[in-house]
Amino acid sequence: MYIIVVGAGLIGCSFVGLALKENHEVTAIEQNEEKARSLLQKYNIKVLNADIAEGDILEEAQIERADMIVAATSDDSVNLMAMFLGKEQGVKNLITLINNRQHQTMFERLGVKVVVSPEDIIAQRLYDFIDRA
Amino acid sequence: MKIEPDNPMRILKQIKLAPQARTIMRDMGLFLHVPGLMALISLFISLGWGEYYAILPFGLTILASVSLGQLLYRFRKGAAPARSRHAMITVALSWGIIPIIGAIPFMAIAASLGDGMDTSATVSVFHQPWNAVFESFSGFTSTGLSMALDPAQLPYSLQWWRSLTEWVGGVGVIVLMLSLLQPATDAYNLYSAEGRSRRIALTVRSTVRSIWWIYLVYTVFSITLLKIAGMPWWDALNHGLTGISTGGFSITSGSIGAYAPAIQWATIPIMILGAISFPIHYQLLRRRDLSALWSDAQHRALWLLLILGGILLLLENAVSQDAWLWRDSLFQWASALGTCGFNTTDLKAWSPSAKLLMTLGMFVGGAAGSTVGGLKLNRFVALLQAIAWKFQRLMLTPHQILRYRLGNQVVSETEANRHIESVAVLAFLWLLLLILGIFGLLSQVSPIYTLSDVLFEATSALSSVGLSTGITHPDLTWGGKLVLILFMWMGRLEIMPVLLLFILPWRSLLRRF
Repeated sequence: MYIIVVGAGLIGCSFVGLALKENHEVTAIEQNEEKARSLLQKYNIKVLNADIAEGDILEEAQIERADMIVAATSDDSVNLMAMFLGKEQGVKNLITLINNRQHQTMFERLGVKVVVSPEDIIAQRLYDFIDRA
Repeated sequence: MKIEPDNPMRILKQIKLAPQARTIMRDMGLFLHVPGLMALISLFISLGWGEYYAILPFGLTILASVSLGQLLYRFRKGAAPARSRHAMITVALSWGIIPIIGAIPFMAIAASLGDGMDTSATVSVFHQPWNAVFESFSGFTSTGLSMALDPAQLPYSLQWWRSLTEWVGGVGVIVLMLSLLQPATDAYNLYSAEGRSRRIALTVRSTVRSIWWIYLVYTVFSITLLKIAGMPWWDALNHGLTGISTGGFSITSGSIGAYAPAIQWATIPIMILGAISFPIHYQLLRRRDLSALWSDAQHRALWLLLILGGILLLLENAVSQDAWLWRDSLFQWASALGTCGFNTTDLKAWSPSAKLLMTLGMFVGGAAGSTVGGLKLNRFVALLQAIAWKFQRLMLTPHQILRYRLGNQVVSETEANRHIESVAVLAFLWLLLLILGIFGLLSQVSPIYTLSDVLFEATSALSSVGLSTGITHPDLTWGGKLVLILFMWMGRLEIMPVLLLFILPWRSLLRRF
């Protein structure tokens, strides 16, 4: 599978590692040059150091042949933009991380698979332990 | 300042010196003891062979070495810790003075044998100080260019002295650099990053000890291998010492060519062992890990170049001499690339293309961190890598960033650029110096030597190889000898330390005005 990852923070980085282990092809887009370089030091993949809002950055990432876009930045508007552009280009699998729960319905209306904010996931897991006790 | 002439030691103490100068003098003082120690060992060889006339010359050497060393070591009070700049100056100066002390046995033995009828022409040559100093420089830089007309005619003491200088000189530069440079300095990092003296164990002291152990083990191995292949003990001992140190002095007139084919084949792996870096040897011996030989880019390049160049030289000889010179081609190529300098054949007869190919091999040299000379393979690999990066950058899409891989690790763009810059500067300096030297040498040699001969000889000296087209000869003018001596000295220390030594006095002079 060809996967485009938007955002190379901690979560984006870990995702790239997991995807490469399964032999998927990955291209990452990261706005912060330092983060982009440190990702490149870890993994031998194509890394684009650019803002997703810049006109044809997704074309540069060859979105036409992408099977999946994963948005994992800490900014929901950036994630939304990635999902919207992906939808427009007809990418089948759209997955995003959202940092603010209130944005969930908006994303779901777009037909995107949503992973709620990492803090909420961890909190939920902790709460589950109480339940069982 | 009142000077009391009856107490020279007090004058010495009154001389005002900067702490850095004291550091340099203290360290040099220590190193200048080395030829004395070597002469002491050599005394036993002379006694063993019954060459009693060599006792006085070696005694003189011990005296000169120890007294000069002690004199300089007296300045140790108030010495500051060595910084990289001073370490470089110390190395440059030591490598300039130690060979001059090392020339004493040549001159003194020649003098004590006199000019009588039974003294061979080979020994008489060393009445000339230029020849003695040349031979000693060639030894301590583990080059192997020789003024001896027929080394077989030399007394055993001198044969041994030549071999010993190469053996000590070969490993000496690495040990010296390692023991002088503090682990924290930039230059140390530079050296360790470039692999020349990559650290093996945790501390400098244990690294130096490991290097000596490895060196000793391989020397014994080489001597044994040559003995098994059929060399007499004395010959095996000398060629073992000069082979593993990639020096190339021989005790016969025809170098290794004087021996049977089996011995010639057996010498090839010894020369290759000498061209492999100490960290890799360490992994081989300690961890018994054969894959270490293939683990880094420069050793992959070593094997590749050994095979590729050997085949090319074989084909070139097949075309130009109409014969398949398997043994000679492979031997000479290993000898050139590993900067050893043993011969199996007279290179004068080889075609200019064959000489040029060998010149290229000598220019590059073996793996950094071994006893070889030349630009060294890690730099060669880095330059090739830089070319690859240049093209890769052209292929990038507008926002894509390039992954910089140096050796086995991925580095940042800044690190990559700095590394390539330092390598490119050194390579350029190397070429510049080579061209200057060729002009100098061309003006000194007899017109029977072509440009390709001069290029060959100059590269051989600068890369401390020791292969010769015949230019190195007692009849060469003193100017020509001086060019070759300077080349051996600068090339062995990788140019920079010697340049620094030349530049520094000028800078401090200019600052005064």
